[in-house]
Amino acid sequence: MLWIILLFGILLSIAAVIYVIWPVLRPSDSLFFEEDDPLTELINRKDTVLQAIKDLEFDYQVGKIDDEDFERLNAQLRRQALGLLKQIEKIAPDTTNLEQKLEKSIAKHRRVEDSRPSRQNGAVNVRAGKPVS
Amino acid sequence: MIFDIGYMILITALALAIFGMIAGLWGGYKRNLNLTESSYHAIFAVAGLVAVAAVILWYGLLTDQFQVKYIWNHSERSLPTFYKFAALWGGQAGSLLFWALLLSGYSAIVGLAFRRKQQAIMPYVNSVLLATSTFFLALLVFAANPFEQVNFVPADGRGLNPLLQNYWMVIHPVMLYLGYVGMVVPFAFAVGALASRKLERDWVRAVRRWTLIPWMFLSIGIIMGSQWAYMELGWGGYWAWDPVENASFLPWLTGTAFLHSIIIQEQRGILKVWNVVLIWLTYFLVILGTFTTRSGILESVHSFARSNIGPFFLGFLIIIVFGFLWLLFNRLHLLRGETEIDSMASREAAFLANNWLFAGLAFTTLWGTFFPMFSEIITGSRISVAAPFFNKVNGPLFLLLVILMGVGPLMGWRRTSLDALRKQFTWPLIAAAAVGIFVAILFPSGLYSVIGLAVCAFAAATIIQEFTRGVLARRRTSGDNVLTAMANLLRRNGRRYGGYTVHLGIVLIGVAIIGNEFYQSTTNVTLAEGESVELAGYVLTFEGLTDTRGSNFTEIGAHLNVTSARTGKEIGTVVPKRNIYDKAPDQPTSEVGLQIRPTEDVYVVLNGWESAGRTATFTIYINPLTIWLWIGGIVLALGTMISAWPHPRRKSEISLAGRTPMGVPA
Repeated sequence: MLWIILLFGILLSIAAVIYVIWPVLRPSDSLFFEEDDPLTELINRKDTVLQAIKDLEFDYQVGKIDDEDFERLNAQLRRQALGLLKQIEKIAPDTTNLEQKLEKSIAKHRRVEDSRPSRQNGAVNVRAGKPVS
Repeated sequence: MIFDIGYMILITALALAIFGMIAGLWGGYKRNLNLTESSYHAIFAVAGLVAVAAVILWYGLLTDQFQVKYIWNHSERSLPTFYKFAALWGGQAGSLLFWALLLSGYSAIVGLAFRRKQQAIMPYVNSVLLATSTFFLALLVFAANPFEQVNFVPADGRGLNPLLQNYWMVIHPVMLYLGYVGMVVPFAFAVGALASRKLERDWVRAVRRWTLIPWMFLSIGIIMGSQWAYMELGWGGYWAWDPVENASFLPWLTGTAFLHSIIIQEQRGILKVWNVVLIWLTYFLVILGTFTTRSGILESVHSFARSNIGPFFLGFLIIIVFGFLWLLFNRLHLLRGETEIDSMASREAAFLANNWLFAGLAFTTLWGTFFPMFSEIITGSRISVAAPFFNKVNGPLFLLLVILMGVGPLMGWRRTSLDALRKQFTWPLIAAAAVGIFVAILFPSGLYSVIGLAVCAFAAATIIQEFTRGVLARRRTSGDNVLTAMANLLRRNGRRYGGYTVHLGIVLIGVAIIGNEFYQSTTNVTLAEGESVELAGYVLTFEGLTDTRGSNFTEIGAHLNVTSARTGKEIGTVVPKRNIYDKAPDQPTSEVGLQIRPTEDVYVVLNGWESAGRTATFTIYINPLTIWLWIGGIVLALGTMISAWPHPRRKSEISLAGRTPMGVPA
């Protein structure tokens, strides 16, 4: 019994050592596949801006932000989102109109995450960045 | 033999952890996939080996293998199985093994979750996780071997510390360790981001949930520790600002600050330096706390010299400080904020103020905890600052924090106009004033209690207002009924409303603390059988002592009947006890007698007895609102789970350009 336990312990240790050093012994080109860092970062930043637009609309709906601030900040964030989309387009040019795309993005964000439109039934004028009455 | 194998397994785990740590570091630097893969394998292998080592020690504990020194010192034949299992973390070597077990478990889960993500950061993350494992395994191998054996087989063990033979003490350390150890993960990501120069928002997004979960465990662990102190120590309270309590509270403070400030980095791209410093401090405080509670340095600086783990910890702490600062200064130029705070009337400004308060609280708590040590080093005599110092300094800071907890959610991001502020603050301020006046008239107990409860009412009102407005907004747009709207609000905006729920839990805890601090009644009394005492509207009648034999102890219980002084109606019975353990008869433990009510607890401690038990001495406390401390803890845990729960989110958003980026956590 003691020998079996000893054998088990030794085999376990040897197996663990082989398991750990095996990838190093294995022949391969050994380099990371390139992460598309600029695109990843741009898309993440765009997501953050879309989330900020959604939060801003929600804050506006519950009365934390007045009309003037909402219009200014909304327009500012949408400009940022459009700028980021333009940069994404340059790297991945497979889509159509940017403004349509921004609207689609925001709508998708809302639908997926929180289907609240803005205070006046949700229609938002992208250029002016204010709710459509 | 099997215990020698346990030790051999620990040595193998240590060797593999060192190898994996170097492989991760070198793999990240050289962008080498094979070395990185090897570091992942090391993480999984170390987890497996440490688990086997822990199983061996558990086997020894459950089968009474007293030739193992640790088992001899921390168990006995008649110890209930439940406590034999928990004895693994009842002593130093075992608890260090438990640390290593949880850390390797966390590391393996992180390895599985991020194996194909965050390619640039992960080798360094693996390296930091394995470096921490290396440290704990080195302690186990060189300074605190849990498998060390004596050269004879003792007939029985010396028994587990009686104070640890309590169910809260079984589960509380597990929660605390899960919180402590888990905080290594966000730190590893911070170092990974610094080392790989990937300092954008990715790492912050990746660690939010990995910080929330340990934070929840740490919170639950602290509250369970309070519950244990309340039930077991019998001094009428639950928190004494003891160094061991402070050791768990310090990383909680910096961890809470970190959880708030990463939201600002994610939203606005600012506070990048502050965030890495906060999580470094949290990690440092976790290791420091583990060190201080084990080295005995806070009882006496001389015990540090006697402790064989002390020098290891000191060396590791020095590496943590200088290693991190070197890395931070090297990457400082990459940590510039992307923007600035637009207005002081904004949510980010409130978050920033909250961070400063947390930092202030952490500093004063750290200073107060280590003051006796500094005084001993400088003057040769120990001067303790004790609870009044902490209450006096930290009390007002906590009050400000609760105010900010109310103010923050009322602000919008970026800027909030005066008009909007007025609209937001009206009802919460009315609620605060109403509660303040109500308390001042009906329950006068000084200015602090009035202000404290008014501030709690303010914070609670802001949370209720936020929920109400959120539900109304959802109902307006979707036509849902109130319950569905509430459920959808939590599901779709879990992060925000989970956070508010956590705040509600904190408010409840605050209310309980104020109740206990300002409205507690107490008396010491000796009663003969049949005699009664009246306190704060309760009449307690002593009915006699009984003794019961447990498996390894004798329990002496005093039965007291509790009735209402006003109506004479019977409320129930309380049975305070003293447990006398066979292996430690000089260390009787106290089990308090409790009658828990929504408004107050009747809390009785049996101090002693005479005349063959016909008279007994008691300390009786009436502790107002204590139950809300435990309920607040449950609400806090629930809120954290809501906040950490994955919510329906945007796979489609991030693949807008038709490509899915790597490294974006789901």
